[in-house]
Amino acid sequence: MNGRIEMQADLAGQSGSSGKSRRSRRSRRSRRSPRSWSSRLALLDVMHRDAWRAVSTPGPWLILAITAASAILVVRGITLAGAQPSQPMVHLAVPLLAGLLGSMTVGADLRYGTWHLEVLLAGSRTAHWLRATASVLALGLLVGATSGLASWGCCALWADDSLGSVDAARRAAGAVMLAAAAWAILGASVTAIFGSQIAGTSGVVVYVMVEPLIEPTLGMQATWLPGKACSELLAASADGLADDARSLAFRVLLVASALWVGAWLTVARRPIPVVAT
Amino acid sequence: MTVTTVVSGTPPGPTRAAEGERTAYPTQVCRPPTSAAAEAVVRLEGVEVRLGGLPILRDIDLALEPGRCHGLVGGNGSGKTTLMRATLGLVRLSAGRIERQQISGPGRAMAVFGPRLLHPGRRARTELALRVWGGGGSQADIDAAWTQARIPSDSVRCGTLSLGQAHRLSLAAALAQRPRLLVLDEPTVGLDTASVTWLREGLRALVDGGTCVWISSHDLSEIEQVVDTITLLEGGRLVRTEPMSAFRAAADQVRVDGAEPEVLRERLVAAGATVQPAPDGPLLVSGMTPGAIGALASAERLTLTELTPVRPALGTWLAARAEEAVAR
Repeated sequence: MNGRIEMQADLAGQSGSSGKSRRSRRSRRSRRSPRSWSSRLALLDVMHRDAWRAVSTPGPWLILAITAASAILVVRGITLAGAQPSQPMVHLAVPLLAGLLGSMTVGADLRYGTWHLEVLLAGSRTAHWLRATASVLALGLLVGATSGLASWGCCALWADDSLGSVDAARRAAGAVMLAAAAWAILGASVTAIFGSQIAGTSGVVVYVMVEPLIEPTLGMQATWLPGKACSELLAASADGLADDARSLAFRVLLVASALWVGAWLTVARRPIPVVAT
Repeated sequence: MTVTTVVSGTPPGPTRAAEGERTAYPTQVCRPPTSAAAEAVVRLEGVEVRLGGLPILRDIDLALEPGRCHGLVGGNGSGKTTLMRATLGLVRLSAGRIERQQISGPGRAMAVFGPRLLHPGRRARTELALRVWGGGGSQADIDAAWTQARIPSDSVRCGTLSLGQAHRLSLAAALAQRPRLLVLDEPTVGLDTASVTWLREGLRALVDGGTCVWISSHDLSEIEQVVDTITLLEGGRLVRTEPMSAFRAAADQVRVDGAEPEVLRERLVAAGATVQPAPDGPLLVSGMTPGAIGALASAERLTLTELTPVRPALGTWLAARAEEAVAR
């Protein structure tokens, strides 16, 4: 945070004794102390509060509705044209929508000047950033699940068995949820780095449009682009998915994590505004 | 468990000392009048903040004690909000050190920096509940704060609240959390008279409970009624910190006029008062209360035509203190 931080804590009675036997340590570890339960309850309380906060504005609901509508319309349009829908086509809008969701969720604190309040309530900038991105991650998974469920239902209703196989659908749902979660983190991170909701949201939209243009110029390195990695992940066949999933998921998560760390470093250093921007 | 968090920037170096900034503006940290020296909730030493390369705060030494209400006044752009942000850890220090006592945990320090810092799409009741809950409040605290906020409906959204309602909502949420340090920037903006009275009573209850309240305001009449100590900040430098008792003690002049002013003057001087002529004619008497002057006049059978306690405006008094500090 701000330069040097010293924590002087009176931890008397909390340090373990080296003379204790392994057995007594194991039994002590296995006991559920009231403190550990209260810590767990406090964590659940924090998660409950953050989840409620995340869905207490119209933005996420709007994005979820658009996600479901997009999947339904795409599947219906393709089946009416007499073709079979594929995963990348059905979930084409998922990266953009998940990115926008992440950008809007984190950007709202910047836009409406409540970032400082959340930092004070969380206790530190890092704690707030961890909690904010945990909420965004959960919302991203929800977007992926919504798209996966909507497309699966529509395909079962209107298409042949292209997405109807339970095993294939399960894997595809995992892939689209992973892609959506990664893009939600990307959107949130970009917004935090820009320090503005409008710049972050515009950045996500522009990047989604620009990535296909820069992709051919990068050759093999293009597989590291988050959009390309997500579409590869979604395009992998049910049989090949298991083999490719690890490397593809690694690429997607690595890019998202790198941006997340960059955003965290930015958040830790930049002055936190106390006005709406 | 005792937790002390020390946040520091670059230690004050010889360059700054050589500039002689400290000698120009001597600072004074007030102590509470109680005999037991309370440990400061926040202690700032040699704090400097630069934003965009510009020096905003220079060489700030300040201590904020628990169970006290501290006021912060200064002109526009003097650095009041930046000082509060730096104290809360929202701005990095360029130099100096901030020591915080047990206010680094979640919800231990709370701030209200303005009335419109709410998500307009969120319901007002939800906004308040999230804030109180985030600060460790219970359902009962949320219900009590909601009653205090006086918002007419549960379903109203923050974007539709008036300025005063939005501010009262933020203040009610902050007061309900009972933080160890409460920072309020211009807390009376948009509030009606009843709300200002409610805020004053709420702050006094918090201070009595041991909370350190820190208020920045241009409303000096309100500051005068609420705070225990007052700090004047100008040009990013802390000019002076004074207890309000010093201001109240300065208000012991009485404006006196009578049918026989010269005789009255002689009697007052003989009684030990200091008497000066007021610019517009009557006498300005120090060292005697209005009651004592009235009793003296009655005993001497002198007719009084005016007997008015005189208190200088807080702004005037602060300006005089600032001039004294600079002259020193």
